[in-house]
Amino acid sequence: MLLKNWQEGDPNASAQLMPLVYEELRRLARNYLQRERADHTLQATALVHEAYLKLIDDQNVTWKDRAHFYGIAARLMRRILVEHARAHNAAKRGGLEQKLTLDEARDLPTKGAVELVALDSALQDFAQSYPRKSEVVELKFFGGLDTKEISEVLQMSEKTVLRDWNFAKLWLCRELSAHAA
Amino acid sequence: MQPERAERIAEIVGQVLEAGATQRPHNIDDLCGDDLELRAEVESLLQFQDEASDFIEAPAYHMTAEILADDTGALQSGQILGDYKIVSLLGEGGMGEVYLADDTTLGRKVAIKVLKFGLGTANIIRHFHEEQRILAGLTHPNIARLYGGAVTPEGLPYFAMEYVEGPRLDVYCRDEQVSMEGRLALFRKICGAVSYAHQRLVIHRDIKPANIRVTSEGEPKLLDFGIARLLDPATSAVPEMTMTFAAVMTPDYASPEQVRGETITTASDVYSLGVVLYELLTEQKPYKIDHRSPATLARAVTEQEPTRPSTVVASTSGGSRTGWKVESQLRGDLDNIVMKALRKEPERRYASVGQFSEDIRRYLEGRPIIARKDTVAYRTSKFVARNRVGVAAAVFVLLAIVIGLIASLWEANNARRQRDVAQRERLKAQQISTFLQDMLGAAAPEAKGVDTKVVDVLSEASRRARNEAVTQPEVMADVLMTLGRTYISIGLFNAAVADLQVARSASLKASGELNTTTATSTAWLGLALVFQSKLAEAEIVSRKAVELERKLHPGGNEDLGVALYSLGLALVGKNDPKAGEPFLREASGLIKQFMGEKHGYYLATLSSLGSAREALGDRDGAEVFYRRSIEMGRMAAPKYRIYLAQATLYLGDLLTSKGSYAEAESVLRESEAVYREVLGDSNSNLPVVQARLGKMYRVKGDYSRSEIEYRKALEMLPKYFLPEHVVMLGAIGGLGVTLTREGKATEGERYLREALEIRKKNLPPGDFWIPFTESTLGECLLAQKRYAEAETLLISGYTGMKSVAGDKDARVGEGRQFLVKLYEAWGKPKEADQYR
Repeated sequence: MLLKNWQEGDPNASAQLMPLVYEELRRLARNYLQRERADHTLQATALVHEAYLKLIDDQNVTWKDRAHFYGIAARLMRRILVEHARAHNAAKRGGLEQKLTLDEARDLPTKGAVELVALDSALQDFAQSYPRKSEVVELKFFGGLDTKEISEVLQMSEKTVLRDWNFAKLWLCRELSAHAA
Repeated sequence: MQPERAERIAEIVGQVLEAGATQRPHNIDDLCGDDLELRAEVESLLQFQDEASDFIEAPAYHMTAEILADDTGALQSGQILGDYKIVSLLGEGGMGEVYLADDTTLGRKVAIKVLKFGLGTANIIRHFHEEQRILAGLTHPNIARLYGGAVTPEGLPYFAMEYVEGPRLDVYCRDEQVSMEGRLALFRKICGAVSYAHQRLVIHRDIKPANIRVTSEGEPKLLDFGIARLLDPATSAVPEMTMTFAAVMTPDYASPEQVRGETITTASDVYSLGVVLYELLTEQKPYKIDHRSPATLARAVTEQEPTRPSTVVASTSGGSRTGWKVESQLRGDLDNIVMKALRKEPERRYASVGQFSEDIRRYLEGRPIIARKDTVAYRTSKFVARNRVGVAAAVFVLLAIVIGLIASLWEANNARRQRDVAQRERLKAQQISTFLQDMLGAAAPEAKGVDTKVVDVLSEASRRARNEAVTQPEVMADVLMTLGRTYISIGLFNAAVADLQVARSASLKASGELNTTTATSTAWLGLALVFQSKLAEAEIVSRKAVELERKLHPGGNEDLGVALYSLGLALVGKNDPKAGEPFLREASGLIKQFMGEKHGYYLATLSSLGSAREALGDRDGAEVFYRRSIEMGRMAAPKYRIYLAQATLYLGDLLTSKGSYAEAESVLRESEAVYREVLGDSNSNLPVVQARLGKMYRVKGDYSRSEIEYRKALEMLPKYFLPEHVVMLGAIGGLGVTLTREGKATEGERYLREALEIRKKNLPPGDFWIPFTESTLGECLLAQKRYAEAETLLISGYTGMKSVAGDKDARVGEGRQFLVKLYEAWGKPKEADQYR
């Protein structure tokens, strides 16, 4: 079992998990864009839950597995999303962007949109001083977990999670605006 | 930054945020004290409160869904997809990506086409499963094979196709400076491939030079057959995508009706082939447009008359690269041929790709071509066009054929005074009918999951034909007869009987008894009735058919063969093999003569002759027939392999009774495998064969295997047969006997009692199988040492059997042996002696 292997320190487990999580992400992205499923599927939480159920032999799951799973899934999603954003940007810069005729149908809600690549590097800086808080960001923003779930994963109170989150947002916002300027 | 200091900053910011806005400045003062640096840091962070409120609250996934979904490069090199290992990306097209891959099990290269997301994936997948069987069945030297397909782990449909290495057709012709004759020869091969597919109800829909590759042997191969259909908005129920699709569809080669989004028929492929030919001859595209936007091109395709090829060549050939583009060669016939294929109205093009190709051949042979004159073919296709119904394109082909048949028969009828015209039309109608049966027979051998589309079209055709009952009874009779025969070839006997009965009575009324249609429909009705096991009725009908056919065709023909076969089968089935055999012999000879010795019906007559011999007690004679049928069957076309399954089953049974268990086993296993191959994993024949295997193992003395086979059979049988069916009872009783002999008599008793009860309820008193079952139950009770109960049953069984089958019957002898054993076990030697 992948997750067990990962827990037992098999470095390949994470590499094996990545494509699985990636495919799940892509699959859900497609579903979303086709509007075949209700909007709630857009929630990355649902994605992580589904991926989790898919990847885990639920008979042998302990709570600890689950926490670990969310942690690793969030990290993988961060990598995937950032790498894709990076590739996408490169394509745009290179003038390779090809508009598909279906693009009109893809007006996504982009409220609070940020430049993912910049955010990622800001988050890396943030983690230097605030490793735990950066984990909160990873779980919430990339992993799509809610406060309660994060509190379970990181074994701390919800209040602390919220505090960390609010602080991280301020910090990252400042960092990004400095970067933009 | 020191961790403690970082934490301190966070701590203070947290506290400030939690405090109300009014207390804030005070708070900061208190918390930071004299540490100005700390205070500056905290305040600088707090400046971003407004900005931060919405910041990254929506998960990252929100923003990147589009990027992810759009992500090209669906497959990675080295990725495993079923049997395939991706090697590299070959190219990208409007519909998806094409990869080179290795088939790891068969060690060959394949091309994998992955469809792009966004074209209604769910629909594509559904269509794909419907079509895959048909498409994978296209085996033609000039068609790249579709090996199969499935869905990638991410849910993208993909196809695995034969990988064709070589340049595109147009590039090949240009680079190799192929002569005009060479180009026409290549083109005719492509026509052959398209025509082959059309006969199997597959329209290409996207014929273009890029889809035609020329191999190193100089063979053209057509790619992507039928793939376009899977993506067609007309069938994918996503109408708003029509424009997108049209853009994807290479409008240079799309027919006017395709551009307009109308029903696509085989005529659309004729058009696209016309464009390909145009380009091969002129190295130009047929429409001259300044701005090649899809819209202007669409207008040109639907409105503009293409320049005649000879004119194009005349205007461009000054200092031409090659010597073949001779204007005079093109002027006239070739111009006419190309222009006929490119006509705007589908019904004014060539009626079929075959006709198109044939006209080119006529041109090459210097014979007159038909491109100018349009007579019967024109009228027929016009009739078809007028009566067009909005059904899926592939289905339409079939309907067109049926309607065409009605039309040509109607013409034949009207022209009755002109004898030879009528004759010719009739011949044509017959050809169409043969074609129809062959085609459907090939597409769906016997009962194997007949395509529902085909069935729908056939019943629609039946309905239409019946509408002609008043005005044109002869036409209706001919069409219904054809449909009836078609139904037989796909195993729908009820529908066959219904149509053939109407055909026969209509023809009888309109044309009298001594009429080909009357006689032929009677003959096939007889066969359908036999297949329905309505033996008494079948006998009467078939006798009539034989009588009529003999009068009409004293020299014999195919239909007489069928009538004799049905009559013979009916008689053998009614337990009168003596009367049936001569008919079967004659039928076999006629069918061999008129249908060929590789035809399934010939194989079937051989098997039936074997059964007749067996029923007459001539096991050696029977074996000869079975073996001949098997020998022929192993060489027969796939669609006739069902008859091989039948013959092996019969022979296996016979060998069992002869005690040749080893061969019986291998022959029965062959039967099982062939039935599985032809009819799939769930079909009523499999448990029948398994029950025979069960019997064979029991007779051989291998009871545990016998039990396994019987149990396998009994698992499936109730799906297909009622409990009182002879096959069911055979298996139930057979398992009972096996269990008894295996030492599980108490369990066996249950099955035997059930068999006895059902037989008593359903069979007339005095039927052999009632005492037979009593005897086997007696054996079972004997094994349980319940002597008194066993005695009653064994005596009643033995006497009952003896009175029906006589003393010499092996089963009667066995019943007597049981009595001997009973009395010996019981310690009554005197009674035992009575039965020795």
